[in-house]
Amino acid sequence: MDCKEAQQSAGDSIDGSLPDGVEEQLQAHLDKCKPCRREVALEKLSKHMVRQNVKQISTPRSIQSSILKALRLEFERHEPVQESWPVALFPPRVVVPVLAGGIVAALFFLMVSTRVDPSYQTTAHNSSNDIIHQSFANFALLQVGAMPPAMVTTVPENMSEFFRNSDLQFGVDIPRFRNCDWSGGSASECSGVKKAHLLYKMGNELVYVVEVSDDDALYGTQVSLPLAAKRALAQSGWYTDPGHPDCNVILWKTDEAVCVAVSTMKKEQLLALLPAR
Amino acid sequence: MTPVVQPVVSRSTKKKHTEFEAEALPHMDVLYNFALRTTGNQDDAHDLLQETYLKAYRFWDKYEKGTNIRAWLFRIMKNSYINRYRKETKEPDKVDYEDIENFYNTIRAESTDPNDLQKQLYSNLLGDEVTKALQGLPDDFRTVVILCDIEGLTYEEIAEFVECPIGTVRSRLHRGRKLLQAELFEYAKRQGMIKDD
Repeated sequence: MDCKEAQQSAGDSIDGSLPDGVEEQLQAHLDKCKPCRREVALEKLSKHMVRQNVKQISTPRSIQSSILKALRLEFERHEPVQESWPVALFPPRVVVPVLAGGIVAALFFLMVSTRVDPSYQTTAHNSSNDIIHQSFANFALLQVGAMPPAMVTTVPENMSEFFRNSDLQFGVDIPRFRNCDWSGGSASECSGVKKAHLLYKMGNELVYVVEVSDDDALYGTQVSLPLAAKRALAQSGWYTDPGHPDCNVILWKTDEAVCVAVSTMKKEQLLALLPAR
Repeated sequence: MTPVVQPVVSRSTKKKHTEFEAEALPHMDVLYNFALRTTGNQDDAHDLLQETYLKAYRFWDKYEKGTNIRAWLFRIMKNSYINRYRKETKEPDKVDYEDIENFYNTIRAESTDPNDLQKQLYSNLLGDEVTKALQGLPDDFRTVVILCDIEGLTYEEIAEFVECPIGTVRSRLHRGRKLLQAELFEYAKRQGMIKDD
């Protein structure tokens, strides 16, 4: 191998793509030729400098969110959002007061229906296997960017599909929120208890929902709920905590799951967004 | 309780959207890194990344299923970058390669042992300087250096990304590294890390 050939194969050698036989020829040449040896050493040095000093970084969350939002807007621009019948039939100024009344009534019902249970006031969020307690802890982690969701989408249907493929063995309830920028999902399993985690981003607000099968939540030993919550869920299907007005947690039960929602929003705001069931 | 009003969208649009998200979103970090190294700041990188994703979304029908999606996205980003910055500056930066290469040749001829040089540079250079030097490379050279030395792509992949023959990739890489080395060497000299013989 001469100097010209050596210089031509230097790059391939540094990047590990030189065939074995040629590599040996190159090394033989480099052993004899000092200028070529220096040249190769310098090129290698350049590669290492870049590798060592320029690190791969993850896309900042703010940029990720902004891109997902832009994609969602693009998606909606091509397919204009049509109001379905509840709003189309009733002009908003009629609907809003009626709905507002409905919310107050629902809250009142929740408070009254749960207040009959005296054990309700002694709600404790301190047990380590309390699902509510765990949800708060997870939510705190999510807010600082830990625990990124396994999948992120701007189409809610994708979440359904994701959870259908997640082998959770219970039907995951997927609340739909209007004006949701994006939503994300993860599935987890700990001590045999499977959980679905859903995260919604709406402007500056976050909603986090954890779901476990109702067998685990109501009768299991690995996870637990305060007694009052179990009773309220069994009676009305809902549980909120009137003893702590700022405690932004809402629980509800479906046929197969118990869902716990925690949010940056106030409880009333979140309740208003959750679909009736 | 408020009934939630669902947007009504056609099935095919939804399917397209779903497919796009599943295929294209996982490559965001690679594209972001490339955008950041190319533009040199987070705001421009954000704009470039967003433009890339929106264009890719609009042209999703043009993407040939089963081909290298990363290369496809990358080409959209590269073209967006060229359009955006060539428009702004009218002409690409003209770097006098000859000067730099001549300078490189003097480093090569100097008596400094590359091993010593390596030690010097390693112990004294900050990551910022390397980033800056990389930033200063002409587009074509910087692109292949990023794809090879940061992203770890093979020559074949790079050729597909930049739509050039492998031979061109090889020579750009070689030249890019040389220019980078000359740049860093000059910096080290200015800072007095290496003695001017």
